[in-house]
Amino acid sequence: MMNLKRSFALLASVFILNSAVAQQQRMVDFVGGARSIMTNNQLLVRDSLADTSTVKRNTGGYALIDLGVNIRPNSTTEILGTFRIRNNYGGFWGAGVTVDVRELWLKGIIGNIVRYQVGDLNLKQTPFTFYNHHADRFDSLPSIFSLQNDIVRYEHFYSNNTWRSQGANVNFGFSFSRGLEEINFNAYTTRLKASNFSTIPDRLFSGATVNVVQSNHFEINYNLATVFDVKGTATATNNFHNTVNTFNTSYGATIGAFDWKISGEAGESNYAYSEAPDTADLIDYFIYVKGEINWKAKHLSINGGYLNVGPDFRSIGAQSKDVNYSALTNYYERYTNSQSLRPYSLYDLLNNDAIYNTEISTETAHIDASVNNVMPYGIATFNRVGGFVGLNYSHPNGFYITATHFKLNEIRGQGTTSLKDFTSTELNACVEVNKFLNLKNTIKVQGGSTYMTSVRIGNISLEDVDLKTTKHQVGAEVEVSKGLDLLFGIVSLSSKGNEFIAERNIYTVADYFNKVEYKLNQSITAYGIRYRFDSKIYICGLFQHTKYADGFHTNVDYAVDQFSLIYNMTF
Amino acid sequence: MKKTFLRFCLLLILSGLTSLQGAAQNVINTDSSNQHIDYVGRIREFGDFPKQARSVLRDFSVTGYYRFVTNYRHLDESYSHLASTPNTIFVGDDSQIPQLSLNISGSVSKKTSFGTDLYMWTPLTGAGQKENVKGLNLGVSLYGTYVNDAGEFTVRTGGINWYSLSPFTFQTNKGYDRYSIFERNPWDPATKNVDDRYATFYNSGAINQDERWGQQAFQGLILEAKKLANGFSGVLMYGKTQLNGGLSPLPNNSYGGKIKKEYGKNFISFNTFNNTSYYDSTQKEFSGFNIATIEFKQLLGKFTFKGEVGTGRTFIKDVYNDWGELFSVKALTEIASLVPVEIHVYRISDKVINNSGSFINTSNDLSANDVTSLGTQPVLPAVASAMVPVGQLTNNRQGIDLNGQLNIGRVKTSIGYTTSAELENISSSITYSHPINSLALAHFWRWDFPSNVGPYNNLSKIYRSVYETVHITQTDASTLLPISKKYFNSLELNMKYKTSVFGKDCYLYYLGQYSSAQPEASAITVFNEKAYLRTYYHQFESYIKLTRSIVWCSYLGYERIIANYKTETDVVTKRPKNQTGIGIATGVDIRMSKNAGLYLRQRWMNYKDTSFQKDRYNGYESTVEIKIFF
Repeated sequence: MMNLKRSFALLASVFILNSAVAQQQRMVDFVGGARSIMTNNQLLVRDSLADTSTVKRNTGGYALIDLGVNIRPNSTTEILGTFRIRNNYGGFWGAGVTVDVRELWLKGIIGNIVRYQVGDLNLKQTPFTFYNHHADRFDSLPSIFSLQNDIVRYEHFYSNNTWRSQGANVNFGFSFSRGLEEINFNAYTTRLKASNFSTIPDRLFSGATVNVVQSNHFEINYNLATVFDVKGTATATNNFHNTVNTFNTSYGATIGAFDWKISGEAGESNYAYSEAPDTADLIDYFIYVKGEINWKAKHLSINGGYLNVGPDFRSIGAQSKDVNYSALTNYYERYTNSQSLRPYSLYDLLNNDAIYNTEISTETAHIDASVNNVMPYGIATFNRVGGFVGLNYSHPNGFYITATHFKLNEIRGQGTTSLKDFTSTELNACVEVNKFLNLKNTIKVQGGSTYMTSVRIGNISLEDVDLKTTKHQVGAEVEVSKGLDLLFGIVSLSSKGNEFIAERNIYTVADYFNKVEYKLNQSITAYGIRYRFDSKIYICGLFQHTKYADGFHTNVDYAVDQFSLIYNMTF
Repeated sequence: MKKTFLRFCLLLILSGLTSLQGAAQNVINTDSSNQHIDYVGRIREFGDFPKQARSVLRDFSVTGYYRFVTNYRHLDESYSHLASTPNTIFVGDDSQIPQLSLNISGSVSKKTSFGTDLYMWTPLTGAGQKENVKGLNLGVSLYGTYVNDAGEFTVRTGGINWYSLSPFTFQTNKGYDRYSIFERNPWDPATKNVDDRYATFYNSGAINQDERWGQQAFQGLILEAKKLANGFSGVLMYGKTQLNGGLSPLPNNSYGGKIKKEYGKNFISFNTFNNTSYYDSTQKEFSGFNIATIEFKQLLGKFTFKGEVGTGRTFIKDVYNDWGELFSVKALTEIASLVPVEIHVYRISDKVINNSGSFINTSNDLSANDVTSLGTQPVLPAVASAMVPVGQLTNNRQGIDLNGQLNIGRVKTSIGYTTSAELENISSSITYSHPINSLALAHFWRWDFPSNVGPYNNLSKIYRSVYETVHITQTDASTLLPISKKYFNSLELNMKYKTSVFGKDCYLYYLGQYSSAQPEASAITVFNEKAYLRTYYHQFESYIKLTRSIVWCSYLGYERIIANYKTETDVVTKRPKNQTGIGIATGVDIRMSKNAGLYLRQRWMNYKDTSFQKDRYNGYESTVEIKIFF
């Protein structure tokens, strides 16, 4: 409440005082976004006994403005404070209104050398140190599904694989005339938890990168990412630390008609609590190597590589998940006459920002094997070794195709000496028909499929694992007149088979395995019409039909019809 | 090891350092979830993102006003709930109008914009920050316009948006501009000259109103299509009104629209407005209404015809009631130069209800059915036969209005006449207002809009006024309804005169209203005991411009309300209502600077019902208002 009052007072004073200043000196600019969403929803529950307890039809929505006040008191300093003013649909005369601070930071340059930023940050390092993998996201989603998915990303500051953090970041660099081109330094410190002066100490996340650029052909980085509890900030003495040291490098050259590149990263991690048993001290390493050949004349590139991430490799900055599968959906949260929790579906994965988060967890994040069992933490998933190949084709006439195949297996058996084998094959394609046909208006067709398998042949049949997950997506976008698009798309996810899901303690060590069996079929069919005022502003009407079917009837089948009207502005 | 590394660094620096720079220059990446492919291509992608400056708003503006209002009231005699506190200090305005109101808007592109508002209010209770109030009145609205060969399309989302379709579907009553202007409204604008408000009322017959005048509040989606082929245009609305909105997830929505065809100076349009609201979470029980009309304007020679004709119905708990008719047709002409006359004929069935339309519901008590929840403002008029000003329509009524403007020399006179009758005999109550001390009386109940309060539980507050209910006792024993339908008459006279006093501009206004409700039809207002109720209101006002910055305002109001013995009588005196109200007031308008005004008002009031002993009050109310626009 106090924060709200403060934010409101700050907001008002900024408006009143600085807008006048802005008019004269242009020291203040306004950035941000605005959005209005109205939804009409209908839940269909396919229970044996008619569900008479759930509110099946509902309406919802909101209108909001994120108003960022960008203040430049001098040529080397910049301040941004963004206020969120939100009005829930149906609230009149001030009801359902909230005013919040969405972000606040200060950045500047010291002595024309060192850049700094303090406050809210969007940070990343490398995929094995500090990186938001979005591992369960659908790649190459058709445009129609991107509309709401982009809102989820905006809400949680998901861009450039960064994590939203709060702290400070500095960087500076040197340029050289010969020998080396550049040496760049970047360092950050953020706070993951604030002390409660009792059981929880202050927990910081710090890191640094030294980037040495020899030329356009060769670079090498040293990266450090460390999470640690600050001693003495709480009465509890069991302090945590997780340190990751890595080197990553890239070497590229052009030989004949081909661009060659080899890149990779290797390093080690240490994950421990000061008062934990020795078995909870986890030390391990990883190696990642990738080679790539780009045949520019044919618009084709192929790649392949090797991945080895140790079973005890822990890097919480790279192994935290954006999806929180334990979160409540806040959308038809309960259903059936028994008002049981509705299992999340494809709809939630693509559209529901309630199950996404911005927090880095020191414990192993829950995974959903039915969505991604092969690399639930991206390429930083521990206990994986194997290789991969890939292909990219990008024709100027508007034909794009990407394909990857991973063949991995476990390094250490989980609850058994038998190892699981994993495969993941993904194919995505996009055709810009208008380029082929030399049409003015955009006509785009997108499609893709992913097939994942997890197999373990155990010493006894009880240990067997056989899980197959298939994702398909197809969509089309037709610009019927300038800026006006018709959109269509289908996305499906099916999972069949069984798996043993590790239950991990606070030290991330597995101490039990739950057998799960899947016979899930989910899909969303969507139709929409969108008008683009410009590249950052659109309004669209969107209908989505979501189906959730559980062949084992562990959860009651359901379907959701949703019509939404979205008016989105970014500025 | 460390020394070696330091030497290496030093060597590097000395061998080729040419400049220092902020590191990690603008390397722009795209966020890819495809970790299988896109990795290590550009390993300098680390640190804080984004690495490019954001685009900024094209245009951003903050306008608004500051309005400080405080009242001091002393009552020598008052209603019982105020008897123990005869003196009251109130800082602010309980009509939801804040002290500081900011209207914030920005243009994101040439065709798109947004708007919102913020308000702040300090009640000056001495508690400081704890009791300060802030928030949004109108919420957040987004606008956009799309133009192509087919026409111009505008979208408004969010809200509150102020909007109107047609009088019967979605609009408030605009009336005939016969009103007192002594008391200032919260939304009254500042004017360039201190006497503009009074001069405008004299010259044009109305004062300047803000954008909400005649419009209803709507939240949701409004799609407008203009400049379509062959003079067509259209509107589509979907969302919530303040009467059937609320934050409940139940799909309580209103929807409507308009298709309009313009030809020359004429037009015809089809309009509709509908509501469905649910009572229960399983949505088995619901209620609502449908209304559809044709609105038109047609010039025929010297006559201008305009009006609206349609039909409507209600549905409650699966019962769809019959459709009822409604029409309102006006014919306007000038019978002589400078003497415009308008004849208005109307009829609205008791089966038609639309609280978002310009007519009042007097036929069906919606309080039991109305779905209200957090976030709504359930201000609904009473369900009774209302004595209303000329031009204010109600359902369950038909009638004829006559309005004219007669200007003779400096005397400008606006005349209104109405005679009307109920269509069905369904109410044994009559409601009427107390315009003389209306605002001061409304201040007897702060913050809420209570119904059936006062010493005899027959007063109801609606926004900034109070109306009273009187019950007819001559009723049928079985139905408890009056033995006949009720008939209504009213005559209104608004005279304006401009002169000068000691060389100062002086405006004199008189507003008279003489109304009656009776069991038999009458051509004119019934001035005798045959009327259930007679109301006579007289209001005299004068405004003298003392200097370029000061106007002296004066007011004298007198009301007489007399009921006959077929209405309820007091248990002690055995007599029906016999009410007299007097209001004497004075004040000054002071222009402090450009867009800034100070307004002082002092009102003495004396009201009593000689039949109902508890219904009386007298005292005074002082008001100070400062209003500054920016």
